[in-house]
This record gives sequence, structure tokens and C-alpha cells, in this order.
Amino acid sequence: MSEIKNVIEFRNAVKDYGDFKLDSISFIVPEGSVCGFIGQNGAGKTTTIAMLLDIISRDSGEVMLFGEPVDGKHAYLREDVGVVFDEMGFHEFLTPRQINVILRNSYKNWSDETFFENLRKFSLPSNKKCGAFSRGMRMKLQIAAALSHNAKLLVMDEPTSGLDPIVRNEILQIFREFMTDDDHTIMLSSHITGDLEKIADEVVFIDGGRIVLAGNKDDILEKHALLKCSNEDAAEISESFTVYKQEGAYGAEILVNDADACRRLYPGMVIELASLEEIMINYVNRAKNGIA
Amino acid sequence: MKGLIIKDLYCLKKQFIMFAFIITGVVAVAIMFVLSERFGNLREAVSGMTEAGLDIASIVKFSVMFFMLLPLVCTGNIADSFNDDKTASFYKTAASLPISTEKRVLSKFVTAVLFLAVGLAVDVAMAAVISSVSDIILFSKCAGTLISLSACMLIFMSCVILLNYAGVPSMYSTFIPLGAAGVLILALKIKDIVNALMNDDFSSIARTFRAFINALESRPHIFMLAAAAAVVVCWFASVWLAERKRGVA
Repeated sequence: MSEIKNVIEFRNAVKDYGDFKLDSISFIVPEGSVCGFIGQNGAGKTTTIAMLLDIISRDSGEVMLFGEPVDGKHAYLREDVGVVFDEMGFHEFLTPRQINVILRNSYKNWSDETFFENLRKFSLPSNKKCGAFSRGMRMKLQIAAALSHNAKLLVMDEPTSGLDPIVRNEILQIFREFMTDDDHTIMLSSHITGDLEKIADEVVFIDGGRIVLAGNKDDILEKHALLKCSNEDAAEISESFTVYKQEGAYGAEILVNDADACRRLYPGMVIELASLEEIMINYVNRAKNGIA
Repeated sequence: MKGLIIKDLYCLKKQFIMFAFIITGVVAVAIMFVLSERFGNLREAVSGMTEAGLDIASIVKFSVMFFMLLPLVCTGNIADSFNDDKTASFYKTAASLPISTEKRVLSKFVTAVLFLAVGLAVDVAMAAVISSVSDIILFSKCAGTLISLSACMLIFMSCVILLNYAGVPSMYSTFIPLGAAGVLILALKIKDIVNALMNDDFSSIARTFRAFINALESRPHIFMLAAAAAVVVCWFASVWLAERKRGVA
């Protein structure tokens, strides 16, 4: 069995802006996986991605891409990385045909054929200025470019935000097709957890510049559960299981971090599966309320 | 790096219409000067060999030179490409390309030199034509002046590039080098300027101006050396600044 490599590794990476700090970020993204990078707006997702792509320098710690350090000296590593940002990043007066010329002269493995094929597949005109494109078309244009130089890793920052469900679904389908190759990896940041639930294998959850949860998505979903009970019963739940407790007039809803143990210990209580969104909201509320 | 240079050329392509318009205007004015010098009022004024005639001749010479400089100035607007990059947030895209920071910075300098070369080539060609059909200007002196002024433009553009990497907004980065040059001239010639204003004696300023014009005409190599030094210093400083920021176009 071949050894699983880590395409991305963050080891205690720190970036301090004064008013915001990415605090000792550590996580890995294994080769061949789709990593969903979730967190609310302003949690530090874009800063982490910027650090990974060497757009910003870090204050301390290590960031590795394909096993090599990201330190401003290994630009060639980005030959194998396709990037999609939350905004287009190309000048509005450029046409896809001109973008093709620019990128052909930037990537060694750039393929004109693949790019124009992608444009056709995504129904994008090649001679129209991209300033006239809708948000969905702009995203598709970036994806078309990211998929045209034989990238092994796709890094995407909120590619589906602000898009209608149909386009979002189309884009997720493109990612699924990309992942049919075993050595392909995706790191996808989003606050739309529904999308990530559909395609992610790994989940990294960031909040307030700290990694709150990181690991296999199915494990995270299996471990967490929503326990619903009366406010009196809620007092019996061990603090060690409780991520966040929300008490209301009709009872309490508690996110627990060991669903199996809770099912054994509290057989009379209603324990439901939690979605990634519910997990994210409860962890954010826990942090907001200063619960350690 | 080639990709980024092409991108900058696409950015500056928007100015091609303005460039073509200016070239047309300059050529038209140059033709009028030549015709006037051969057949019109200018010929009569100069052939009289009066003091007024000679003054008119030198005014004409400066006017022609001034008009010829317009293409050079037009091509020197590298700040526009920084503006466009900022508007499009291209710095993120550029940083995600497999191009090192040094090469990204170098691409800006190469674009600046390429555009300046276009302006200089147009100017030199016009100087060759005008000097061959009229006596208004001598090609050697004119070419010397154009090369010297191109060198000055290159110094200016290097400063603009450096200031942009330093984070100075593009709208200010073009004025700061000009302002700094103005302040430097004022500081160096403050005595002459005060004397001129107090005693109504502009002879010293006129001498300095003539010396500068002579230097432009006859010593382009000095200006070129200064430009080369400025490019090297600004390039190193820009790379240093860009590496600290990383995400630059």
C-alpha cells in the first residue's frame, strides 16, 4: 500500500495583524482528499489561504506545500496549484482569449486546448470582456483557468458564495470530476457548509484565528450530536461532553462531542445527528460566550 | 514573467488610441513647422538674420522639441498598470502564479523600458525626418536630447514603480518624484532664484538652464548612467519591499 502524502501541512503557523491573529494554526490535507475549510466570515480562512499561497508571509511556524516549505523561494511549487479566489482577479477589460495568452506564458504546463474546452463546457464566451460576466461566469472562468495547467491541487476561497444553487451544484460537479484522479486534492474554503458536506472528506474548522476542529468529516459528524431534553435534564449532562448548551422556554438543545457515549449514558434523551452547520454555529457560540 | 509583461501591455493598450492621437498631432505640427521654415513666415523671419529672427528660430526649435517629447511622456505612464492591477485585485492572482517575486517586480521594469523604447523610437524617427528636410534641428543634438530625456523618464518611472511597491497610491506616486525633483532643483539653486526675484536679474538662471540644455544635447551618456543606477537601486529596493509583502503583482 502506498504511503499517503500530505499535500498541505500547517505547523503552528502564526500571523499577527494586531487586531487579528492567526494563532498557531496546525492541520494537514492528505493527497487525494477534499478538505473543507469552514468558518464564519472573518474567521481567518482567507488569511490562511493567503499564507499557503505565499501571498502573505507568516510570523512564525511552518507551512509546507507538496512537502516543500512555503517561504517565498519556491515559486515553482505553484505550477501544480490551481487557485480560485472569491473575486475574479483578472482585469475586467481582458477577454478569456487574452487571459489564455497571459497564462500560457506563465505556466509551463498550460494547455490552450484544455482551457478553450473548459470555456465551452462552462458556456463561457472567449471574446467577451470578463467585466461583463456574471459572478457565476467569473467563478467558472477562474475554475477553467485553474483546471488548464494540469494542477494537482485546487485551492479555492469561497468559490460558491453568492451563487445560485444551480450554478453551485454545477461547480461542485466540476470538483467531483477533478477528484476522479487519485493524486488530485482540493482545499475549499466556504461558510456554506452544505456544499462541503456534499463533497468534503476532511474538515478544518477555524474560528477567531484558531483551529477549532480538524479531521475526517464523517468522524466529526459521527462524534457530534444534538441532544434535546428538558432544562432540568440538561443539568445532568456532563460538562466534558457539552460543546454548547442552548436553553429555551421549551427545553434545551446541547451539542455534544461524544454521541456514542451520550447515547449510552442518557438513553432516555433524544439524540439527533448534527449537521456541519449546526456544529459550526455551536462552536462559534461557545467561543462567543467565553466557554473554554 | 513573460505572461505578466503581456498583461501589462494589455493594460497599457487602452492608451494606444491616445498615443496614436498624440503621434498624429505631433507629426501634423512638425509638418507645419517644416513647411513654414521652407516656404512661409518662419523662412522670412530667419532669413532676415535679425535678432528677432534668431529668437524665433530658437523658439521654434524648442517648440518642435517639446512637441516631440509628447510621445515619450505618453508612454511613460506605468502607474496606470499598477492602478489596473489594484482595481482587479490582480496581486492575488499574480502571487498564485509560479513566478518569483523578483520576476514579478522585474516584469514591471521591463514593461516600463519597453514602453519608453517605443516612445523614444517614435521620437528619434521623427527627429531623423525633420532634421533631414529642414534646418530647424540637428539630428545629433536632437537625438542626444531625446536619449537624455528618456533617461530622465526612466529615472522617473523607476521611482514610480518603487513608490507603488512601497504602498503609495498610484495617484500620488507620479507626483512625488516630480515634486522631489522640483524641491531638489529649488534647494540647489535657491541663491540664484532669490537673486533673480530680489534684483530682477535672471541671467544666472538662464545660464543654468542653457547649461542643462547643453548637457541634455551633448552628454546623454551621463543621463544614461544615472538612469541605469536609478533602475538598479529602485529594482533592489522594490524587490526588498515586495518580498516583505509577498502578494504583489
